[in-house]
This record gives sequence, C-alpha cells and structure tokens, in this order.
Amino acid sequence: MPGPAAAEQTAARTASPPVADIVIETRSLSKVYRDFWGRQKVRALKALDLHVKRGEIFGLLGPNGSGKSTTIKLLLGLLFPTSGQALVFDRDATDVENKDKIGYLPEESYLYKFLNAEETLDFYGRLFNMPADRRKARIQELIDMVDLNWAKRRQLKEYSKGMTRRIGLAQALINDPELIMLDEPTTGLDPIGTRQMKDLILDLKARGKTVLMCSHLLADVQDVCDRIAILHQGELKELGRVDMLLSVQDVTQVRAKGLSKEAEAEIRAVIERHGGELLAMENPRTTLEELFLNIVQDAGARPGRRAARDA
Amino acid sequence: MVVEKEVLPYLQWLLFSNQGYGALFAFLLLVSAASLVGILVCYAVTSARIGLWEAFYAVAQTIANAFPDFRRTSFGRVAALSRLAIQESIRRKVLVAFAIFAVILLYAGWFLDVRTDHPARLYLSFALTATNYLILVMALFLSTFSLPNDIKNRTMYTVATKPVRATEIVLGRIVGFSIVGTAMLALMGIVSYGFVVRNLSHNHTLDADPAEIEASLAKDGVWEGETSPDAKGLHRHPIRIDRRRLDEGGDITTELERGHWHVVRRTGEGAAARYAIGPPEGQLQARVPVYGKLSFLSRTGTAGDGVNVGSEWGYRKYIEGGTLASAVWTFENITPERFPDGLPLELNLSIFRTHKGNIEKTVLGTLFVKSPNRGAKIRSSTPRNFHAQEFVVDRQRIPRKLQAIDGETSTIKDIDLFDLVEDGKLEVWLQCAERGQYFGVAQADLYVRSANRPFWLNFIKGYAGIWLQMVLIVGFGVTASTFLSGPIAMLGTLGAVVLGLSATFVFGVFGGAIQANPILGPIVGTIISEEKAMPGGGPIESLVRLVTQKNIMIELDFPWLAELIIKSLDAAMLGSMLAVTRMLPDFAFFDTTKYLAYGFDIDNALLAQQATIVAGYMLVLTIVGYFFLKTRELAA
Ligand SMILES: Nc1ncnc2c1ncn2[C@@H]1O[C@H](COP(=O)(O)OP(=O)(O)OP(=O)(O)O)[C@@H](O)[C@H]1O
Ligand SMILES: [Mg+2]
Repeated sequence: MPGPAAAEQTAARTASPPVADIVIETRSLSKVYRDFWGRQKVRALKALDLHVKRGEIFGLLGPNGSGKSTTIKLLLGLLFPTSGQALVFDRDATDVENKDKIGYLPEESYLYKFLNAEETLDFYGRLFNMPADRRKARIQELIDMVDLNWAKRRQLKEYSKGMTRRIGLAQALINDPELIMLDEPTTGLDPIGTRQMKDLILDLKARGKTVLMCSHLLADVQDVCDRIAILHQGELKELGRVDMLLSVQDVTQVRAKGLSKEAEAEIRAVIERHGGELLAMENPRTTLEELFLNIVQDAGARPGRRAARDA
Repeated sequence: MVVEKEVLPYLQWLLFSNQGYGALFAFLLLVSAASLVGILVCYAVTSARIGLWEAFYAVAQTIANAFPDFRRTSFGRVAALSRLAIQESIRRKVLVAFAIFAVILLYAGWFLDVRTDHPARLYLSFALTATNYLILVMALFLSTFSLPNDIKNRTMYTVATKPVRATEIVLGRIVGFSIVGTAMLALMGIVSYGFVVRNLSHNHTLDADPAEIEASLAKDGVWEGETSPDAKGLHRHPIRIDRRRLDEGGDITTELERGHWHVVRRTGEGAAARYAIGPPEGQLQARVPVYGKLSFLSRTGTAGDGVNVGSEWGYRKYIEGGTLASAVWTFENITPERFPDGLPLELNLSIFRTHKGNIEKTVLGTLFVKSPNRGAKIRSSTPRNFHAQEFVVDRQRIPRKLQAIDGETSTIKDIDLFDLVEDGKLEVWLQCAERGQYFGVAQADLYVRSANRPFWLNFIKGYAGIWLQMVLIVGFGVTASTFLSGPIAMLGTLGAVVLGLSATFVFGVFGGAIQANPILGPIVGTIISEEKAMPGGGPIESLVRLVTQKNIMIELDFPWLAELIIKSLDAAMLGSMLAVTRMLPDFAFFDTTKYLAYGFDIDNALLAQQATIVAGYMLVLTIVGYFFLKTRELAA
C-alpha cells in the first residue's frame, strides 16, 4: 500500500502542473531570416505557442525545413526572435544565467576538431567553472557512458560521424543539465547507439529532467516522447500527448473475454440498434508515421489550417 | 639619433601633457564622445528596424544588461577560452612564423651591408624590425580569423550555449593570442640577442713584437700602431700606447672604429711584457642621457636664434663659425653626488660647410662650461677645443679640475667644476671655431650621459615595446572579428594601423583644406599652424586637380560657389576621417627600436606611457567587442 506521502505525490503529478513547472514557454514566437540588406528571405517560424513542463519529454516533428532547429536555436538564444517571446526557466532565452541548467546537442556536432575527447569535455567542463576533481570524474563517467573509452585520446578530426555524435552528447550532459535540447539525437548512430540514446532519454526523464528533442525518426519519437508538436513550414499543425494523438477517436474497438452467448447477443443488439458493426471493442492505434503523413498531406491541401485536436 | 619629442615624466604626461589636459583627460573625452556617437548610431539602426520606442527600450536594455555581464566575467572561463586559443594557434602552426624568423636571421648576411660604420645599429635594427613585422603579421592572422571561423564552423554554438559571457569570449581570445605572441616574442628575442652578439663579437691581436713596443715606450714614451684586422677583415683599430698612462694604471683603449673600441692590457714588464686586446666595448650600451634646455646666441653674442641654412629640415638650427654665435644648453640637477668624476658630455653635431673641402675632415669646435649666474665673479671655464665630425658621437668629459678666468683680476685660476654650478644649474656653450662653417644642433644633440644601464635590460625594454604593439593588434583584431568576417577584419585592422600611423598626414591635409576654404578659412584657418596645413586639398579637390592637370601650388580658379562646395565636402570628409584617426593608436609611438639601436636607454616613463595607452585601448576594445558579440545572432 502506498503511504499518504506517495499518494500525495501521485496526486501532484496527475494534477495540472503549477506555472513554475513550465520550463519552456514560447509566446507567438516568430522568426524571419533576413539577408545582409535586411530583406526578408524565409519565414521560418510563424507565431508558435508552446509550453513544455518539467519532467516531460517533448518531441518536435516536421519535414525538412519546417523550423524545428530554428525553434531550438531561438530557445537557446543563438537566434533572436523577430517577434514574440521565448522564455526558458521564466527568463528570456538569451539570458546567460539560464545556461548553467541547459544542455544542447546540435544537429551536427560542432566541436573543435583539434581536441581529443577528453580535452573537449575538459574544455566544456571548465566553461561551467567545475572544480578540477569533479570535472575529471564527470568526464570519465560520460566517456564510459558513450562508450568512447577506447578512443578518448584521439583527436576529433579522426572520429567517425557516430563517434562525434556520441562525444557531442557527452558534451551536452557535462553539467548534468535540468533541460536538454537534442536536435535529431539519433542521426548517425548505429542501432545499438540508437537504443542507448532512447534508454538515456528515458533515464533522464526518470531522473526528473526535461527533454526537448526533434527528430524525423518517428519510431524513436513514438517510443520516448510524452507529447509532440508537429511543425510544417513554420506553423504548428499538431500538438498533444502521443497516446492521445495516436488513438483513432471515431473508432471503438471492443474485445472481451468470458462473456456468455446471451451477453454477446445483447451487445450485438445494442450495436445493431445504433447501426454499427462490432469488430472488436477498443480504440485502435495508428502509427505515428501515418499520422505524420496525414498531417503533412493535409497541410499541403489546406494550408494555414491547424488540425483541430489538442491535448 | 633623433629624439624629436622629449619624454615627459609619467604623471605629467597623464595629467597635463596637452596644453594642460593630460592623456587621461583626452582618453575620457574621446571615450565619452565615441560612446555617445556609438549609442546614437545603434539607436538609429535599431529604430529603423523595430520602431522608435521599441528601439529605445532595446538599447537601454542591452546597456543595462552589460553591467552584470561585466561584473560576473569569470577568470576561470577566460582562462579556459585562452587555453583553447593557444591550442588553436599551435594547431594552426604559428611556429612557422618562428621558423621564417630563424631563416631570415640565418641568411641576414646576404642582404645586410656588413661594411657599415655602425654594425651594432644595423644588426639591432634589423633583428628588431624583423621581429616586429613577423610578430605583428602573426598576431593579425591569429586574432582576426579565430572568431569568424568559430562562427562559420558553428563551433560557437556549443560554446555560446554554455554560461559564457561575450566578455569572456573576447577576453579569452585576446589573452590566449597574447600569450602565444609572448612566447614567440620571447623565442625571437633570445635568438635575436644571440644573433646580434654573435655578429658583433670579434677579436683583434697586436701583431707588433712586444719588445719593439717596450723599446719605443722607453725611448719616445709612446708607441703607435694598429691592431690586426678582425676575422672578416673589415676593420682595424689604431692604437696609441702612452707610457705615462700605463704608469698611472689607466686603461689603454684603441681608437673608436665601427662604433666600438677595445681595451688593451699589459701584463709583465720589460722583456716579459705582453699585450692583450679585450672584447669589443661600447657598441651594445644603454646610455641614460640627461638633456638640457637649448637656447641660442646670435653672431654678436646677444640673445637670438640659430639660423636656418636653407631648405633643411627645421629640426636643427645652425650657429656660424668664427663668430660669437653660440648654442647654450642649460642643465639642471647637476650635483657632485651624481657626477663625482666630472660631466660626461656626448655630442652629435651636424656640420654645414660653405666652402668645398674634404667632407671627412673635422671642424674645430669650442666648448665652455659657464655659470648661469650672469653676475658671478668667475663665470666661465677656459675654452676646450675639440674636433667635430659629422654625426659621430663625440665623448667629452668635463673634468672636476678646471681653469677659469677671474673676472675681477683677469687671472687664470684653478677651480672645481661645481664652483660654476648655481642651484644645480650649469650651462654648456658650444661655438664653432672655423670661419665659414656652421654647426647644426638640436636640443637632444648635446647631453650629459648620467649613467649606463645594462644593455640586456634595454633590449628587454625594446622588446616590451614590440610586445605592446602585438597586444594592441590582437585586441583590434579580435574586436574587429566580433562583427566582421575574417579577411575583412584583417584588412580593417591593417587599415586601422596604417591610418593611425598617418595621423599627422591626415591632420595636415585637413588643415590645408580648412585654410583654403573660402568661408571656414578666414574664421578658423588662422588657428592651424602653417606647418600643419598641407596644400592641394582633400580627395575631391585632388581628383579635380588631377583631371584638370593643375598642380597643387596654383589656384583652382573655379567659380566661387563650386570651389566652396568642393572644399567644404573635402573638409567634411577629412574631418570625419580625422575623428576616426584620433581614436586610433599611433603605432610609431611604440617603436623604440631606434633607442635600442643607437644605444640609448629606453626611458621607463616612455614604457609606462605606452603600457597605459595599451591598457586603455584594451579596456575599450573589450567593451566594444562585448557589445558587438552580444547583439549578434550567432546562428544567422
Ligand atoms: N541561417 C539561415 N539563413 C536563412 N534561412 C535559414 C537559415 N537557417 C534556416 N533557414 C531556413 O529556415 C527554415 C527552417 O529551417 P530549420 O533549420 O529550422 O528546419 P528544420 O526543421 O530543422 O529542418 P531539418 O529537418 O532539415 O533539420 C528553412 O526554410 C531554412 O531554409
Ligand atoms: Mg534541423
């Protein structure tokens, strides 16, 4: 039997989170890329409203060039919004004070090629003013975690794509961040690496961290994300809990066991009376791939409309 | 050696150097003016983008945010980023610059004139100039490409998303590249020192038979001869060994040749006597000159001015030979404690000849030491004659024991040098004794050598000047690279250096354009001195003259209005250029190679002034770099 404290905790978790528990908030965030002369080139993001709660794994999905990376860069202060606001931990995204609690894995690992793995992590550790002993321990821990112990003394320019990716991940976690932003975390990783990455993300969640990730690999997103947003040409098309989004609401599936013939007949009668045909009694699940393709096609056919569902 | 500007004491320079406003005031004035203009420009640009009110808010916000950022700048992160800059430099093979340097010095003999009269000057200025240019080029490349590369390669993304402040990114690079430059400079310094010393060291021997010398000394009291040539066969020294001097235990030195002399030592007596010639002396030195105030007396001996002998550089004034025309230096703080053995004077004259003759031949000059007190009973020492050779440093020691004419009894008396000193003041008079010849002198041409500092220390000070220039370039380079791409930042920094060097020129052209302006000329033209106003006008007028084939001395002869427009546009253009130039450092001010090469101690006050200027620039550059980087979208 769970004690009263545990019950309280469960209650707290299920109740809608208080405002302080919102880690990321965007308010009609928009971004227009301009060229040197200030002329408008691309409207990469159009009035995005998002909330990401503490302890959540949030997925950003969308076809190439839909504005996923732009969103992440805005949230990191690498870009400045054209209009709207990006708030992280209730502060402006450009605030340096935030950065202590943030980890970021860029689309490609942008690291200094002339450093080796240890030096790389050491450098980033120093940027957090970590004391030497803690830094050393943390570096070894991370190198073990990403399985690069065998290559830790080699310069990064000799690394394969997946290896660079791994060291990039280690770099993002050096400060044991509260909020981790992963831009396509599984690209370049082998199946084992992919599996490990997903386990890692779930592990981070278990430790109460918040993860914002974007990816094309829908299976990955489906496996780990609590909620997702789907972007298309800079517009938000879909937002909600993964389990809700993937259930087909207008179909009911009933499957039962141990019913008597009479009972079955009764149910059939009920269904027939309502003009339906019983297949199985449950809400079937579609795949995320199907949902994704539907939304993208739908957006192509009717631009500017937002799909009507919400979490 | 030309010391056109005297070095002011540090505090005087800092507080009062410019007509009562010191360097500090000038700095504060420039910084406030520049920040005001900077803020206004930023506001204008921002408001064009996001509207007047919003822009005001944004600019204010940025400035307000800067203070916590400056305060929280962490030494640890700066250190981490400078470590990275050092690692990057090593990867970019900065050592190549050093290799080039070593090779240049190795083959220096190929392009240096080894027959020069002043080998020390030649080797020193060569080594220092080579170091200077290589270091500056290296600093330029390192500092301007680093940040743009990081932004282009997007490695900046992973750095800027850590709790790193823009100040730390700028400072980290400045510190890191300065450390690299320091290490390189130290290496080059050691190698240069070895190069100079090795190239200057040589030996002579006395070929004459010691017995012969002894015989001559016994018979005539002197022996005159020559040393053997040095290993390269470039020079010999005449020697005159004086019996009396030997007996007194004084040093026998060879004659001055190629800027140095040797000490000759005798061991043993009579048949056992041997003569040994020591290493070269006097070529690597750091003399500390004490300058006096120079005034002139006309040919009749009344107060007047030196003459200008024609189209000569106005720096020196001339005194006519065979007349009473004199150059008078008044020295201060002459005390027996400082100069217990008399006054070691050094002079370095230019000679203007009105009749043909052997240019190598010396001209007779006369020196007096006089009391500044006109009414003194004993006012002047007896004349000391000397042979002046053009631009050869002549060393004249005024001894303690002097003779002077007693003004009342008109007899010659023995006096002490310091009997002529009044309140620490003493005058040295120079006259030219040969009719029809002129001596050209400037204030710095006659001085008291108050001390000799160690040469190696002076060498380090000379390198410190190069070091300061290097740091300045690194600062400018890094700051330029916060908002420009690599090659543009490099060109920009180079442009800043050149413009800073040509400040006098820009000022001259500007002055000329103002004076020639039909409206501005009569109003403000008079406050610009004639020397500083250059004829020919600014860029537009020059272009017009070029096209219409009018040289700079003739009138433009355009309608009044056209002329006014041309000249006003020029003045405006030059004025803004001058404003920019005023903000740039004068790199020539940091060049102390000359002092080192000519054997003068580099004044510590000068070094302190240079260091202060660099510190001021670094402060401003870091702040400017911060704002550029902070307001820049790193991912755009
Ligand atoms: N620096 C830039 N300058 C101009 N346009 C840009 C820039 N970066 C991105 N864009 C444009 O903004 C839009 C969104 O790009 P973004 O990188 O956010 O897409 P994405 O969703 O991350 O795509 P992908 O899945 O391919 O990574 C694209 O049209 C892209 O061309
Ligand atoms: Mg992307």
